[in-house]
Amino acid sequence: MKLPFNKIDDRIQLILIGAVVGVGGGLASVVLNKSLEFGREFLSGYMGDWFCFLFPAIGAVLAVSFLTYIARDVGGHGVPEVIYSVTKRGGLLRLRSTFSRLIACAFTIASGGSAGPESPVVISGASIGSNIACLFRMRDKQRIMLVAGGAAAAIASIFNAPVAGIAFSLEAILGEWTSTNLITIAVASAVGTEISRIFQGNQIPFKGGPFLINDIDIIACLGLSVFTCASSIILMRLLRIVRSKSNKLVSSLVFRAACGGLLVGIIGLFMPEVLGEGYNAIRTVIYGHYSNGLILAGLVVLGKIVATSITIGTGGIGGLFAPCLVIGSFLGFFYYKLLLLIAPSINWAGEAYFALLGMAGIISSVLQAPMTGIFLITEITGGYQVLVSVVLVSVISLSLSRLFEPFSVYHQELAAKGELLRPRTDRRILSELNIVELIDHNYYPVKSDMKLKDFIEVIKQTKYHFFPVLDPYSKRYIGIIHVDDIRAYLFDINLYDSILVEELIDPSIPTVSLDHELHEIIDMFDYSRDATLPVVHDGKFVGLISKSKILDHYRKELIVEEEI
Amino acid sequence: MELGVKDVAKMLGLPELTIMRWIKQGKIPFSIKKGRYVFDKEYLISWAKMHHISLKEIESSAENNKYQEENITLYDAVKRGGVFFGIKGNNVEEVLRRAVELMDIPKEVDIEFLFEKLIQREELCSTGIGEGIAIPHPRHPIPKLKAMVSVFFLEKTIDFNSVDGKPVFIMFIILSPSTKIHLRLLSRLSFCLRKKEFLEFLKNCKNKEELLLKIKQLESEFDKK
Repeated sequence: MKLPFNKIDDRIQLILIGAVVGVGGGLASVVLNKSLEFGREFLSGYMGDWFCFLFPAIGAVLAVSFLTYIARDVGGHGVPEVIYSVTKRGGLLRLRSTFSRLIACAFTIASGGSAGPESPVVISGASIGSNIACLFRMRDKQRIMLVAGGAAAAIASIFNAPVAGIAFSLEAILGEWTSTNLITIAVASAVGTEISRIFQGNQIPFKGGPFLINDIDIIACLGLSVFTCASSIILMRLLRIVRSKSNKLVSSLVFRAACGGLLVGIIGLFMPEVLGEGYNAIRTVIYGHYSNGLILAGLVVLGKIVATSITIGTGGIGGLFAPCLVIGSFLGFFYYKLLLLIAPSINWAGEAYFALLGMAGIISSVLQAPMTGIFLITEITGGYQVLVSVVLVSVISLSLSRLFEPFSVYHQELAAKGELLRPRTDRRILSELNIVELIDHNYYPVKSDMKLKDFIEVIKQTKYHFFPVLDPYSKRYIGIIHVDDIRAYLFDINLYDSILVEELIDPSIPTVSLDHELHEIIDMFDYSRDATLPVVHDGKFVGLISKSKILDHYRKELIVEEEI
Repeated sequence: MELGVKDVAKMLGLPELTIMRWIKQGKIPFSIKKGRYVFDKEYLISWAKMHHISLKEIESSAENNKYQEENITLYDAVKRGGVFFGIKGNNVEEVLRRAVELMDIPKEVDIEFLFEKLIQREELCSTGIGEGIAIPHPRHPIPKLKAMVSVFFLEKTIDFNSVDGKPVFIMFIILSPSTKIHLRLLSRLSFCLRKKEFLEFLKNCKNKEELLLKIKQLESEFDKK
């Protein structure tokens, strides 16, 4: 499909399409929100019944069955998939991803699974962006911007927080802040927010304050960042452990999710706060309605960490955003109660203040996206008063947790597989260059049974330094001769008849295959002393690859990526 | 373990000036001890891993051995390989068979395998280089072997299908773990064989020590070149 305004400047075109993507992302979150409301209302009648602890298990079974057998999509919370697509596939995402995760996540969360609706909305928004970009035949670069725009619109509309959406997209999805990226993403984010306001009203989800903040509160919030950092690390590690252990214990996807759901249901019997995405639980804390004390609040923090790890680790469909907010708010409450216990005479700023900070700290650490944490909390609570403390907690909590967990929860899977390729990094550029582009096809093959005397003639008549040696019958590659290595023997007339070309081969020169990744080839260059290596595929000689050519390409690749 | 700028430069394969610039620009983790820049080895390794940089180990003794082996002289190779007189046999196969049995081959290498490799090479193209001399060697270098040259004086001359058609009276069997060493030994041997005096000497040689002495003498000429 070609736009009628095809002649219009690319940027304007991107802005217009970005707005369309924003509508899509916004609608995705509205639909999910409405279906969650519906699901909860439908189930609320049964909440007191004895069998309600089975709900999460049933929901998980429905979610996973739907995703694997009907939508035929892969599990997981979705954000790593978006990041992978942005870094490796030029932003391509499947059309079915626009709805598959939404439906699966509605089952998971409405039934009580401890997960958030944000990541499924992010992948929906992102794949709406991707598919719209495909419809308009956009190039990879523009498609990636629209994918990021869709993700921003999703976050912006689900939280009614446009700046947080932008920050999330730039920090977590793209990994770089540039002005050109910003334009499309900001437009999509603004439109997404507007869409959600039209359908759901302009409410601030967790309005807190006003607060009376003293200096002592700001000092105290430094201590809170230690707690948020610790909780984040526990959550990330537990999630990883549950995921790897449950993969080993139960191989059936559906049964695994059912077991996870059952465990969460049992935890929910004792602590209903941990069930679902937990927005209501956050509200009770922030509005000061949470009446339990220090120990119970601490238990809820742990319970929510465990329930979330189980729900998502066993393959339930949902994100980590909302659980992080719940953990953060209860942790803040816990910390507030702790402060009261230590220094009851001081007039502290109140539980809502610390709850907000706790949320910011956890989000910053788990997502390793401090700006997202800062903007999200100020926007969803309307608490611009707390900005200074939020910045402090976010940044300190992030730097502390980086010591233990170098990658965010979204990036760690990709990093473990070596597929985390941030923009303008060495790995990213190398991964974009294809080895086929770098092959030098100028060479002169020689037969292995050629005598040195005849080979000398070849050297005289050509200008090459490397000569691939091929089998005279099958033409398969046998080895390569580097003229520098044999210079000493070239002028020894006595040897002319007694040396065969195949005896001049240096077997220590490794061969490169077309399947090698470029960074592997660079490693091979580091280990071998030669600056040129033979490329051999399926036993056939393809050409030569040299360090200097890679450097040349590499520079040009970097130059065209620069923004002017 | 602590490393200095020099070590780090070697490990990274970069000039010291680059390391100094990196220190100034804060691109590499370092600390200062007694006014010197030092690097913690373990920290440096994890830093390199994070940045996907490969570090070279500082020269180990294994490398050293390899280096020595690559610089082997013909004299040492003949001393290792031995000199044998009065080899019986009527054709190429018979003399090679007898020769392989006499040679001091490490246990890991199968004699039959070595013999086959020698015959394969002869079938490809005769190693009789003329003037009654043959230099048999296996078709491919055998990495398990140590470099050696064994000299065999034949009881009676045999037809080796040499380039000049002259029958062969002496064989130099060259065994080497790599092409590089093979070519090194071959070019040294060829230098000696080019000398008329050496050819005359070989025709009348009856003694191992004399032969070794002669080779040493000629090889020093080669090295002076």
